[in-house]
Amino acid sequence: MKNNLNMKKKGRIIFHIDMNAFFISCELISKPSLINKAIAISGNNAKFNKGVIVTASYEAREYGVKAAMPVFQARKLCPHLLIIPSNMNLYRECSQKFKNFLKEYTSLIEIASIDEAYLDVTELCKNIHPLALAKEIQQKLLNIYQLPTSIGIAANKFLAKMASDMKKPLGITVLRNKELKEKLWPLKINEMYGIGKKTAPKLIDNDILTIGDIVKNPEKAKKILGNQFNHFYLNALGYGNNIVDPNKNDSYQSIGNSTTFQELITTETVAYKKLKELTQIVVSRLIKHSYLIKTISIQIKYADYKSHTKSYTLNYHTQDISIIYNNVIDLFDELWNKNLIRLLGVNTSNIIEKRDNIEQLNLFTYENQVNNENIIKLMNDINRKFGENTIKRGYKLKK
Amino acid sequence: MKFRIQSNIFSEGINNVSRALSTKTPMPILKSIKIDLNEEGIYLTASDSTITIKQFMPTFIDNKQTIFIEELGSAAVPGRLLLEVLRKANDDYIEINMYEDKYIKINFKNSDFTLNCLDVMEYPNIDLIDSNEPIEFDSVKFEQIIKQTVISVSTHESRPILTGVNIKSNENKLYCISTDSYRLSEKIVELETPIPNINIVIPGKSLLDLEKLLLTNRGKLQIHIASNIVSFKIKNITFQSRLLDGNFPETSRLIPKEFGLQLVFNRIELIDVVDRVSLLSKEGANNIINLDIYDEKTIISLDSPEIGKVVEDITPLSQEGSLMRIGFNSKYFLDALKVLNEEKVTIKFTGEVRPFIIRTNDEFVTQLILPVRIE
Repeated sequence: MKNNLNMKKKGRIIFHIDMNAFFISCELISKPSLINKAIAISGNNAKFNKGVIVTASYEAREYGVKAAMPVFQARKLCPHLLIIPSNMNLYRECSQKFKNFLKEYTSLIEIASIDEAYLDVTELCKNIHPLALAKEIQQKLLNIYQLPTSIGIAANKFLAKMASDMKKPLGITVLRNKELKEKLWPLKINEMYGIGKKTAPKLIDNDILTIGDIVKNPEKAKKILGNQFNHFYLNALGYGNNIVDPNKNDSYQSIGNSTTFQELITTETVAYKKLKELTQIVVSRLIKHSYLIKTISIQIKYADYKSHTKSYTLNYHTQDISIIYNNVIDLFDELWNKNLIRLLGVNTSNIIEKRDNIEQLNLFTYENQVNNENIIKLMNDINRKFGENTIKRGYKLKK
Repeated sequence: MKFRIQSNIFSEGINNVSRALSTKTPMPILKSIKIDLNEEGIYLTASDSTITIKQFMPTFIDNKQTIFIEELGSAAVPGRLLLEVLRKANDDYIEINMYEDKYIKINFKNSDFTLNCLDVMEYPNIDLIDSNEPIEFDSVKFEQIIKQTVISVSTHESRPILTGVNIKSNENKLYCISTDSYRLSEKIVELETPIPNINIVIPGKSLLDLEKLLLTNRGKLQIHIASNIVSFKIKNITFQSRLLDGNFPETSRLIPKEFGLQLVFNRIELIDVVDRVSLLSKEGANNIINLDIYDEKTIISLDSPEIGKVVEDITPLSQEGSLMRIGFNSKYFLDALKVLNEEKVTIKFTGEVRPFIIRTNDEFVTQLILPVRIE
């Protein structure tokens, strides 16, 4: 008798929930008079006219206002545009509410970024139809929190993400594996999740114009995508990752910050000052989360919009601002080609939690650190006598 | 330039100087080995601008002719290729012939290689230094100095001076010290004759290359020092390296003199145990092992939440002092244990968050390691 193992293994149902024009939605909660108006969030708190647009409402987008556009240009396109300075704290707060709300449905949530999440609803959908569930979540988020979302429903994360993008705002899209040929493959290659601004033109130059072209012309695509090819090829065929990892929750791959300058930077002194501000923001976030980092990188974008990055990996983890800043400056000195600077970014990665860090003592500085030697000795003695973890430090206990 | 030479002699020379060949260089000519032929013999030169190796091969060795000269001259020959060709040469003699100033022909048995060459005139002029008062060493002794110190050289460029070994003299002693801030190696050498005051830092990478060269070329080693260059001469070979610029930190104060706990182990047994326990250390991560020192035995363990744990105990040959627990990087420990020679090692501890040292009967060698903070 034939034993078809694959038949037994049932597919999963994954939601990708994407908050539409998220920053705008957050602002509208406290400023309902702005609903249905052309508004935009600017990145520069101090001088509205000199910043750049971070995001714009759908009404403003109709005038051609886009993210990363200088404010003055946006005003030209849409003279009645209302500019609101960005308020990251508010957005984080809203994002937290959004996550907490979703957690009432399932613990299988993977937070992908501040305004999107994946949910594994396979179990939930034993009792409710996926479409009904999506509708309910969407309605509640809109009615209770005034947060419009679009939801993609599919068998894996990649397809769910692509689906949520298909109808915005307030869309619900189901993307079935058998519909890929009609619904996914005709999409332009630059719309494929994971294909960046740098890769897309290269693919287009090689006649890979749509997602389907990766499947139809694998040899050509392979040349451009290299060892990433398999990932995209399998995604296009519908064999994507369907594991929703709640541990990715709130944990960061990297922490960074960047600023675009309306007035291009010409001198080292100004660049140093901006890099210091960026480093301070990054380090304050590291401290807030009790994170230590090992890799530091900087990004410079020049007047011609060409972007360059350079990074350095320390041989230890740190959150020390002077160490990080000194490396940022060294990297900048090496990377800067003296051209006018449009954007500077500081990024840190290789993150671990402070409580997981093993501190390697340093020959030249250990003497400053031996102050709690007696405490360490005492704790070790107690644990050796009465068993491991009899005594430990308060900060090592999980909240 | 045209000559015939015994292939094993030529191959050995090319092999010696090839250690200085550049792999990545803004000057393509430095990928060549320079061959200069005159009446007395052949001079081979290779350089990567940090180190330069030059070897002289005389026409006559013990009145026996090894080089048969037809036409004097110079050439810059692609180094890697020449080395590979010679490695595969299957004849007792090979013939080298330069023609049109840009091709070199290598002939042996039935083989006929023609290699394209760069213009030898482009090869930079590298001066070899000579001092009136060179320091003399038995090369095997110097090999030991390198082996026992180079392990602690920093591989990180954050403090460039720490990427070298500091060699300084005091009266009739030579102090050779390296540290990457987490461990330190010190070797003291007593000199038979007093030498002028020196205090130099030789790049660790250069010393590793020199060590390899000394493995196959033993004898009397002369060290010549100039302001920013050091030159080692052994037999007909000169190995020259740039020195690191800057002040090496003063470390004598940092090596502890008093100890609260001392353990003596059989060195090979200890290496075996640590080697086994380290199997569970994660690639690239800190390979932290714990030493739990009790009265009768020491428990060595490693606990890696993602991989698993391992525990093994070892009985010291003798022990003195108050018990403790200490954690440190097993790689540092193994590196230090492996470069020592004696049967027994003594580990001397000063405290849980203080450096400890590893010594043998040879009191002139000290290996020091900083622990990690464990609780």
